[in-house]
Amino acid sequence: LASIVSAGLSRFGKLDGLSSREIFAEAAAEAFERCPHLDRKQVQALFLGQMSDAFEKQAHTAPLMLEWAGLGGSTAVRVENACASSGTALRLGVMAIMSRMFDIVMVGGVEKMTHLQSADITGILAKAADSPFEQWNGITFPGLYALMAVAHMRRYGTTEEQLAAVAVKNHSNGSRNPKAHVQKPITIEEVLSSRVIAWPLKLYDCSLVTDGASCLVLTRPELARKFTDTPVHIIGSGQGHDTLGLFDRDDLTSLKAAKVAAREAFEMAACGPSEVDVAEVHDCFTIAEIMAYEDLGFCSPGEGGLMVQEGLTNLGGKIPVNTSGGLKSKGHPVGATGAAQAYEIFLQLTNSAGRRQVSGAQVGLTHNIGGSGSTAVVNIYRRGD
Amino acid sequence: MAPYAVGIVQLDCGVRLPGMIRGVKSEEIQVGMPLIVDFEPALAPSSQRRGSYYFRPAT
Repeated sequence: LASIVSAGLSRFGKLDGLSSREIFAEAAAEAFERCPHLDRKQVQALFLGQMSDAFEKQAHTAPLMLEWAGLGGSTAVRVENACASSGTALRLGVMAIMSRMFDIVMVGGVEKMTHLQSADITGILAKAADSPFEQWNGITFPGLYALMAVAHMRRYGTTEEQLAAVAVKNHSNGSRNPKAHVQKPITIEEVLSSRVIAWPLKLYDCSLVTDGASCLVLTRPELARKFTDTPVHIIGSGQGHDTLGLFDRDDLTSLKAAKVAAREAFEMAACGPSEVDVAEVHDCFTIAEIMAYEDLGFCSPGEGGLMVQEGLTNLGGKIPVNTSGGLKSKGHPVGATGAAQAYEIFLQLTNSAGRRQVSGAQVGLTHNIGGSGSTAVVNIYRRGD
Repeated sequence: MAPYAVGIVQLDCGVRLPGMIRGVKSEEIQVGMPLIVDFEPALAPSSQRRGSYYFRPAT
């Protein structure tokens, strides 16, 4: 469909004193350093994911980031699909390349969040739920995913220890990622004894409030070799949606949008879940990663808890998931997350992931969720050599 | 206000609504237990009063 010739990621963390424009410029700088044959002025368009202009009280950010990344293009578009904003931006970039209107586009995302108080951040994020019914009744995002966790535990016997195992794995991976927000391994006991946020989810079941930016440079597959010897091809792309409100769904143990997106992406890529060597999935809460395994077909419904407990998704396991540390440990600057997942897969498929490299990885997958599953974007990638 | 309990409640007409569940200890809430809806005024972020609702045990 399209090929990634370069990618960049800012540091993830609490970036005091920086604004989103500087953070995005940092990500863009890495992409151009990584690809010396590519000039900034050759980039013809920018598709930018950013969830909310309320964090910085700054709207109209697509032209701002075009300017701060120094791109030559005359087309800049901001995309908002909550936490799936830059996953959606990536899909739009693929469409733009396939349309042949542009030869080279940048897709990416940015969010600057940590300068606000926790209650304000929670309030801004809660706008991505069905506000009059969910936010108004005191149901935050931890609350929504807690409802799903309770349903999953009740139907399948998933345990709090299995949820905790997701956090332990992702913190272990994040400790190998020099750009991760929290680079500290944790234990099952620390997760289980951390304070309750929305039962059964505890502090260490929740992803991080993080500042960060991500970007990718896309071109047509036949042009990719002009810029790099190691392109990564996007071979499948899918998107799905569901009701905005969780309460309108018949099944709380699975995300229909993710299943729809996965089916579309796998059909387009002409491959199946067993061929995926490495995946980045949307672990906004630990239960979300367990549901992701099931929705993507890495295991059967109800077996996700067992899959993580048995270490099948560890580094070195059958299918390593969230080698970057995921949203849990690398961090979750919401608008930047989708493209940041693709950045990790780009590193893995170009053998550039350092201490967390999955040896011989050929096929990668990203799974990016918006809200409580109202949007899902799944992309599949294959290394280019 | 925290901790408070929230749930998804199905009305007799089939409509489902999310809401707070009050008047019962959290650990005593059971899936499927009968509830009734009650109404109260709430303060919107815009400082305008608007109606809101919550659920409590039917007894």
